Amino acid sequence: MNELIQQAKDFGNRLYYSIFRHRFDNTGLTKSKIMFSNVLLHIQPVKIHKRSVKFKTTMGLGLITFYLFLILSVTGVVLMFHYVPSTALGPDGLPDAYSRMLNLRSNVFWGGFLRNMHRWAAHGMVAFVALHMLRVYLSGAHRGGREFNWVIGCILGLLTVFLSYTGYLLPWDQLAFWGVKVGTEIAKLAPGGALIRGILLGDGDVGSEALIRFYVLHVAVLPAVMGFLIAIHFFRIRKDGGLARPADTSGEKEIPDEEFGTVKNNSVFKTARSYKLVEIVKGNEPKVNEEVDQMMFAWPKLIIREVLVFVGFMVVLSLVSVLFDAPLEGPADPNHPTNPAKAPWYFLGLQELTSYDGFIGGVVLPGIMAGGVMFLPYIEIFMESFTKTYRKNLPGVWFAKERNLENALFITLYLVMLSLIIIGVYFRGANWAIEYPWVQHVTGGGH
Amino acid sequence: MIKDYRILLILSVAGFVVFGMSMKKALHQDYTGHQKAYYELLGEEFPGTEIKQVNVPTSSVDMIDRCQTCHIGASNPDAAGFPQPLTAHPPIVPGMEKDPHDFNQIGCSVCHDGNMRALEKHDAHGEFHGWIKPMLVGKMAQASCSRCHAMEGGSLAGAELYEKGRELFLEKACWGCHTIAGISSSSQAPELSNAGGKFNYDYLVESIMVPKANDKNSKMPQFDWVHDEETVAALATFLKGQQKKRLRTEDSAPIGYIKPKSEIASISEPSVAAGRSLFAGAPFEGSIARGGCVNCHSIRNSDGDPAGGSIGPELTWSIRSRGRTYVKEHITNSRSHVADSIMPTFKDYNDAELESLVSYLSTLDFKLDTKTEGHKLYDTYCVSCHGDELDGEGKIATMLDPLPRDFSKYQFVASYDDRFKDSIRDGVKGTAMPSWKEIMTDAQIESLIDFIKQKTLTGHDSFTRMEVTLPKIGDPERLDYKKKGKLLKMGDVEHGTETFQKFCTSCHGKLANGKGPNAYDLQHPLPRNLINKEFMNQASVSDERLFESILLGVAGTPMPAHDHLSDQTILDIIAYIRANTTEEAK
Repeated sequence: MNELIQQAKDFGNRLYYSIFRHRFDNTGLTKSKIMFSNVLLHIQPVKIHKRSVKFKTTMGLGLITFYLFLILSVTGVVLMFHYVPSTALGPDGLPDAYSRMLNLRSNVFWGGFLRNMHRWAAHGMVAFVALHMLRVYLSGAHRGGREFNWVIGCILGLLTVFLSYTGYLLPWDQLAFWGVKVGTEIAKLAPGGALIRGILLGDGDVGSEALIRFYVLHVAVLPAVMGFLIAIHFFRIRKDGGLARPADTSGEKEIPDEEFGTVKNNSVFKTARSYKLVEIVKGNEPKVNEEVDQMMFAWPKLIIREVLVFVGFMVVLSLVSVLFDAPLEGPADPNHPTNPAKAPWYFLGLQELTSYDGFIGGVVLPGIMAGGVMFLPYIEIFMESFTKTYRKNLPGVWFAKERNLENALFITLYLVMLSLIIIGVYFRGANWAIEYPWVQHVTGGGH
Repeated sequence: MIKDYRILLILSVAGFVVFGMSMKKALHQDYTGHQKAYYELLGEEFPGTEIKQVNVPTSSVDMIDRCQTCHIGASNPDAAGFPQPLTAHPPIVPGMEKDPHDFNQIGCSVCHDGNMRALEKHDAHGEFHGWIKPMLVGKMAQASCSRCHAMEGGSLAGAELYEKGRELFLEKACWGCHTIAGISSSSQAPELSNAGGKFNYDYLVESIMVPKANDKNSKMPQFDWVHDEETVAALATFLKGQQKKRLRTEDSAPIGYIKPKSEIASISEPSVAAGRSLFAGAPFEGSIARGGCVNCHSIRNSDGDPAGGSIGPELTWSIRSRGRTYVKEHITNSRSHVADSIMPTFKDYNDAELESLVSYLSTLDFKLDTKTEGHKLYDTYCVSCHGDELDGEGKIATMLDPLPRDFSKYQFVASYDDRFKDSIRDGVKGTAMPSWKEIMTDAQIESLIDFIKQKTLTGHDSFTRMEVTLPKIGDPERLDYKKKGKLLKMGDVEHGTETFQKFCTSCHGKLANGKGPNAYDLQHPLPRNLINKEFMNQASVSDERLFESILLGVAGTPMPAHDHLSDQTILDIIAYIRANTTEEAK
């Protein structure tokens, strides 16, 4: 009998270890194993700096952006089961794509919620990318060897906008059609813009060809490119030594050890916490033997915090999706422009600028802004090298005094864009005339 | 660490709650409650929730109609007293034992529009922004009869509101400007044959009530009756019914409706009575008359009380001042005499109808006492165009082209004595100013002029206009001042054209019709239409007047002086203007 139990235990152990390669005790070895033997967790280091889990370090903004990408992928795939990227008129006399939107709302179980979720997450992602960039810049985390990662991040940001924009057309309602139409008209102003526009639309105007192209870009091409770049973005954070932080953090308030659970030290070298062998690797990789007291195991504290952000954000997003329905207007009608025809909100700043001057507002300024922001760290380096005003670089420090000028300029840029967007969203009425949002007007509009 | 776990626990619970909320929203919809209430009212056992869907195949589209999921008692007579949305539909065809419309066959949206597949009220009624077919509530649904039934020239039992709208379309003279295939043909205003297919009900109502809501340049007048909700509703319902796309072809249209002959009155014998009903848009001998002049024009009875619309000039004196032929020609083609008139062309009237109208207008004989003072004369005869303040902004002024004279620009009043008197006596050709000699005596005209002068000249210094005379051709005594004293030649049309295009087109337009690009920014009075033949060829518009106006400008108007032009150039311009309006032009 005992033998049988022993055999069963043995079988159980072998089964267990074939799946998990570690136990869940409190020893440092196990905590390390949990992290590096799991494909999902090993993107994170075994040991992290304590300040990484503090709210004020990142505010979870980059993480939320990534979660949004995941949420969008999942809801997007579910929506794909119900969607047809076709403008052909169905038996009910409505374009297929639009008809599918009506179905999602009234025929598909939970369909409205899924669409709301996808819609609000898409808008949210654009907003959180912007906030994440703001956080990175204001805490100086784009410097100190991370310049190129900032560029990749900017490309990711542009991709996010483009993903959101391609998705905006898919419902094929008046909002979608005219929103996208406005955007593509702005593109026409750029040199070579007409060609790019032609390639994107597959036609002289937004129509059935544009819908299928936007669809493929939206569900296959852009997410794939984005996933690849996200991998590089994360990998480089790892290789740059984790989240940006000042070289010397000994002055910072320590998190007490009990905050992240006890660690049983079962090492043969009882007194030394080290992995000195790694020392032979050169570069920015995880610092060895530096500030050992400030380092802690990533398991479980970091993972719990990440899950916490995820669940918290899901609650908010789901609540928004329950309470607010994604907009859907009448079916796209190329003969009856909405007045005003507004692009999606993140382009309204651009549209507002375009309304002052097509070429300068629609091409030159946004080009300078996008390019300038993307290469901002290199511009900073250039200025510092050639004016010999070397500033003390303090990555990971919010509003460092040495960077007051840069921070002020960056915040101003954000505020200007934000005001333009607010004007575009709330203060522009028919014929793009100034109109206060609290003033009711005669409805106008035939449809 | 424990704190983190606690927060995680709380957030997870919150997550489940929100998830539950989304599920509840998806599962528990209003129609379940409605159906339960319905069976409870009926006193029957609730058989379980059911989505009631009617598929209506039509020649163009398949309609998926789920309205009766909520409106569950629509075809159940027992549900007559139930509250909305459970109540039975009231009978559609009056006097029928069993209504021929079976909702289990045709659904609801066939007549009532809306987003028929939806199951949520706001959504199903098409109340979300931009939906193409918002629900037609109640009697508005009569607009939809013609989707299946043929109605041309016939009336359909139960569609009273629609029928009333059809009568109003003729009575209110809408037909004078708007085309609806089979009813009217006019190119004055947008065609309405597919008004219902293009526009939704609310838009139609708005366009009738506030014509300038979408296009502030719209010439459509705002009629006096637009505040009468019932009239507007009837008209809008009729217009909503004008749809080119039908659910049934003519052959497959449901039968069982009466299709009488056209009810439009045809007048073959001229009579004052027929003229009166045409003028008023009132039925003649029981049939609708295609008329309705009274919607725009007013008249006075013998006591002098005015009645009618204030969009066109008053017609009390039209026959006396214009004559029968002029009035007839003006009705059939208003632009034959007044180049820029916006009055619709009623070219479909036959001779008997025209004669009737003119005979009726001849019966109007009101005129003021010979002893009436200038003030009273002005208030009766002049005020509707020239305005209370004598500023040329009377209530019908905006519809007139050219605009009525603005007397408050005192320079004009002070400058031209004889022209002023002649204009009142004989009228100004090519404009809305009629001749008053049949209505006012010379003494009355004098007192009227006195009144105007007294009103406008007091408080101003005297104004003396410079005098110039038209230089004679080839007169060695009167050489060209500017052009090195050359002899003046006959005006050269070609050179005149060139100069006109250079100096005059920004206001007077390339065609010299007074509609240049700058004219839109100018105030009263607007640039003269120089190809208005009637106006340009009357005696008072002499070459001398043109010369004077070009050289010195016109006092009190935006027309500036052009003393930088040589005399010869001005003569050339005059030649060009004259060439446009004389017979041999073109």
